[in-house]
Amino acid sequence: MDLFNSALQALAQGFAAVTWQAAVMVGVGCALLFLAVVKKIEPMLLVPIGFGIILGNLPLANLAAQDQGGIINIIYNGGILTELFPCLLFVGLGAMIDFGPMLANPSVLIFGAAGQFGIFLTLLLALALGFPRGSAISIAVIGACDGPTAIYVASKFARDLLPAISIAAYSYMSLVPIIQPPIMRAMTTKKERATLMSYGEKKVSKTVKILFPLVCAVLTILIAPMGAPLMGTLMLGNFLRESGVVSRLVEVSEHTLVNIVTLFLGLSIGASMMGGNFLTWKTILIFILGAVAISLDTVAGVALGKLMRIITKGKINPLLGAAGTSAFPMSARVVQKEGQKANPRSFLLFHAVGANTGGQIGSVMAAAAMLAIMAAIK
Amino acid sequence: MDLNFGLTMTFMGMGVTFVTLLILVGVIRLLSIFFPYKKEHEADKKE
Repeated sequence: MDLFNSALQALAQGFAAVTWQAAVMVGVGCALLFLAVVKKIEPMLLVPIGFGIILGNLPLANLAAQDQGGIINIIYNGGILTELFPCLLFVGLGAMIDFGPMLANPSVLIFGAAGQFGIFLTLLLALALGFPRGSAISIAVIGACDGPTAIYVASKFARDLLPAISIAAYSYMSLVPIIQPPIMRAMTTKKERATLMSYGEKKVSKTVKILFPLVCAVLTILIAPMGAPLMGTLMLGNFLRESGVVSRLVEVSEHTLVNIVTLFLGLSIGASMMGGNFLTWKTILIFILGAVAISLDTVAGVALGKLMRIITKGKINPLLGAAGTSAFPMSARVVQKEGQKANPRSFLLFHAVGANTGGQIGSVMAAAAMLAIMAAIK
Repeated sequence: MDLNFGLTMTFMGMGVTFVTLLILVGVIRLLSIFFPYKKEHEADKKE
């Protein structure tokens, strides 16, 4: 009878150990799975994260990212705490990006700088709200609209905030089509939005396309060596693509590698979202600051666009500035859509894609500059 | 508030980002001058 009781107790242990925070987090995991499976919102990311949250919050399962020796703990330590996953994702991202439109019209690269302005203003806001330096930087980088960069910086400076920051960064990337248009319309007149830009797809030589990732990597790494892993891997991926001699590596980088890393990244980040450290006011503040950062990026980008419209005597459509974030290619699509709403003859996509890839470089550069300055201050 | 840190990071960070991208614009223009598309196209035709 004692043996029966012991067995019964052992089997009931899991149920007895459930806390209300864990139950809420399992609910959050199910909600993410619902959004991914039923609403088809970012399923590649939300499915592993949602499932990871459920696995990580089930008591005694030893599947939380923090449970030493558990399988997810091994993935988390090896891929996230070492900053390996963001860099591997960047190889794939580099292999996917065509810098051609930006190389054909390099002036749009400047929008990639304006698109990072929100990061720095949000940093000031986060500091004002009492976040320590490392946390403030990590939260501000959500404004880069760039998941891997946000994870890379947070894993260096604010590991406790990593789950909230990564979820916010990826959520806002997909919310760009909702966040940006009202700001773009509020900051511009219909006449400005209707500005036609010359559409003639300039051709760029293959040599320039091959040399650009190499030159860009060397130059930016010399300026901000702390960002070398990010810029180095992004440009490595692009060099593989443009070199034209390693199609198998390009194929693996942009599909298999990205898919595998996304699965492990999502699963381990989900499993690190424990009720105790996720259901806090800090998480809500992080989400609010992330939205502020992306909104400010858009404001600064469009403001620069308006300035460039004046300087070029009406040749630049100010909406292009909104594509200076690194939410690629969402921002470019938003610009194209808003431009065509104001003027059906308008075709901004080519220029917007150029500004958008500039934003990709700009966000990595902004993060690299912050890392370099942090290292210098320490 | 850590205002000194915030302002240093903002001015330096934004400055470095902006200047780097400006340099890149120059580099791309130089690369396009040294390796223009037309030349490459003509070379292909000659072959």
